[in-house]
Amino acid sequence: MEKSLGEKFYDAFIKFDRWELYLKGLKTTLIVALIAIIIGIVIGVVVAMVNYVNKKTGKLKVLNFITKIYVTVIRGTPVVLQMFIMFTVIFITQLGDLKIGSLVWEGGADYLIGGLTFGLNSGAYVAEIIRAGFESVDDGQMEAGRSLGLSMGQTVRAVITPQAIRNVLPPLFNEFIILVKETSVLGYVGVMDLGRVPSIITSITFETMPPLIIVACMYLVLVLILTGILKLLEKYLSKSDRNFKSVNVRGKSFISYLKEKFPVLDKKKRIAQTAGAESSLTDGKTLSGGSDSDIVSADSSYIETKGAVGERTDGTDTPKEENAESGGEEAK
Amino acid sequence: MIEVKNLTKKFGDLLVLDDISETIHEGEKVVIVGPSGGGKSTFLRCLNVLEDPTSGQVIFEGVDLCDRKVDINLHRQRMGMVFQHFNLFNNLTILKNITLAPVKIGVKNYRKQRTKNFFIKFANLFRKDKLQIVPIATYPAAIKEEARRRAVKLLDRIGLLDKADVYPSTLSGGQKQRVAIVRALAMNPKVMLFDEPTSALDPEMVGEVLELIREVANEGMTMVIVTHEMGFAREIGTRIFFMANGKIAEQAPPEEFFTNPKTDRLKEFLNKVL
Repeated sequence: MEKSLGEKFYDAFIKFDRWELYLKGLKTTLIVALIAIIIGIVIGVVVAMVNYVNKKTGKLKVLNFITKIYVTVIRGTPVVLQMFIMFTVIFITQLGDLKIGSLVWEGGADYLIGGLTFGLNSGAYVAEIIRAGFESVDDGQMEAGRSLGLSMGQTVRAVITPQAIRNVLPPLFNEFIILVKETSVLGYVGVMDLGRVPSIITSITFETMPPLIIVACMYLVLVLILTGILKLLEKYLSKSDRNFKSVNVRGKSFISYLKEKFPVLDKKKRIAQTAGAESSLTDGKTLSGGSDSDIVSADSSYIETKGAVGERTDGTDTPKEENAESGGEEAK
Repeated sequence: MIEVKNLTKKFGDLLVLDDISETIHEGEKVVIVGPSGGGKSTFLRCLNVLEDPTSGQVIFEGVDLCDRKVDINLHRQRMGMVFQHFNLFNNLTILKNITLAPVKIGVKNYRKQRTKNFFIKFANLFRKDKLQIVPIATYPAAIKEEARRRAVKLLDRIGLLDKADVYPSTLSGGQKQRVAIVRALAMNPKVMLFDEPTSALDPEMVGEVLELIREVANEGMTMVIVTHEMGFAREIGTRIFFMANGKIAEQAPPEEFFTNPKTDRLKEFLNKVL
């Protein structure tokens, strides 16, 4: 007796709460991808900075040599092999199961080792992308910074990196998208990630098609979310463009940009609306809900009132903060 | 104030600066003119060691800037520089362009002092003769506020206060260059170096930039200016260098420089440009 298509999907997804398995896989994929992206960014930025400083000044020769070896090895070997080496050689020794992460929480080892594997892998590619970004920034920017007495590091952090990041956002997110999908090879070492779910479901229902379609859609949604974040970030960072006119975010941080675009996110406004007190909107201190962003905005309003010109805002947007914010956004 | 001794700069085999020795005194306005490729810009950039000299010394306020052990950043704070292509920080608003360096440097010094005090306190636990803790004069919030106030004042002076929160891409060339000048002034420099400040501007905008430079000059700032504006050079300079083939071929006060050139090379140059 042949089942209908609807029944097949019902079997694969809803029957006996099988969707829990998908969610479990999704959770693993998300956590691994998030750890990997963070590690990848950190490694990539550091490696790119080392290369850049070495190229500009000839310093950091040893570090530069090490990073070159790292990039060469990582880019020269398949990620599956790297993963096997990480899981079966480095973190599980002959002495027994030396799974470090398990000490922290159940299944944590897989997340951590997986995140580290893909983070190390991604770092090499991110480094090359960001290095290209650094080189795309006009040399005059560095000269201007140095001529004012800023150190090389200060200029790189405050001026060069933000401009480089903006230039490389599209290839960078391309790399993240590849990374998210690449984590599906985790199944090879027995980690229950999203890519492994179809084979398990198939072994129960003996239907290959439905679970594959479902998981494909889930990956698609993940990638769409990433693309959406990219678009938001691109738009925010184009604030220094001449013809940027969508939202008035001059000198503001990414968080305040998001708040203007999606008023739901603005805690202050929400509280003010429920309280129905319009006047309290201006006073940041009384309304601060304890979150970091509230403290920041309260701080800047303090400067505003003290400053000679009332209108100007002093958005404390350092590149560090932007990174943290984008990380937080990805977590959502 | 700036003493240049046997300054030589080579790009590979190409000799750009050939054994230059010169002294620039406080309050002087030295204007450097000359043909392209004569080493004017390179000479200027060697003064604050943006270009590393191949050999020789640049002594600024008694310190040899070419010495590797010298903290060059400390001394560059006392030397403002203005570039041909403005080089405003594209990712920062105009106000932040001006406050970036004072804030970053101020906060860095504060952190350094705080760390030092921490170690002094730690050392004092084990010492009989207690070390003196240096009190911290300013805190980051105060540094930021001060830098801001100063930037607002400077922007007000050049009439661009309404542009404080916009990004450099929306400014005209003349406005950008004026902002670049006050950005350098925000560090309270002792010397200002101008590297062809009007060469990338429309003729219409040259005037406003020169006007600002003139104002700064009248306040008694020491200046070294590389320029092709001969009229301006004549008006503002107290001494004019003619640089060709990596040497200061001739130098004189402006009147004498333009009316009574001595070398053939300068005569030829003046014939072409005047």
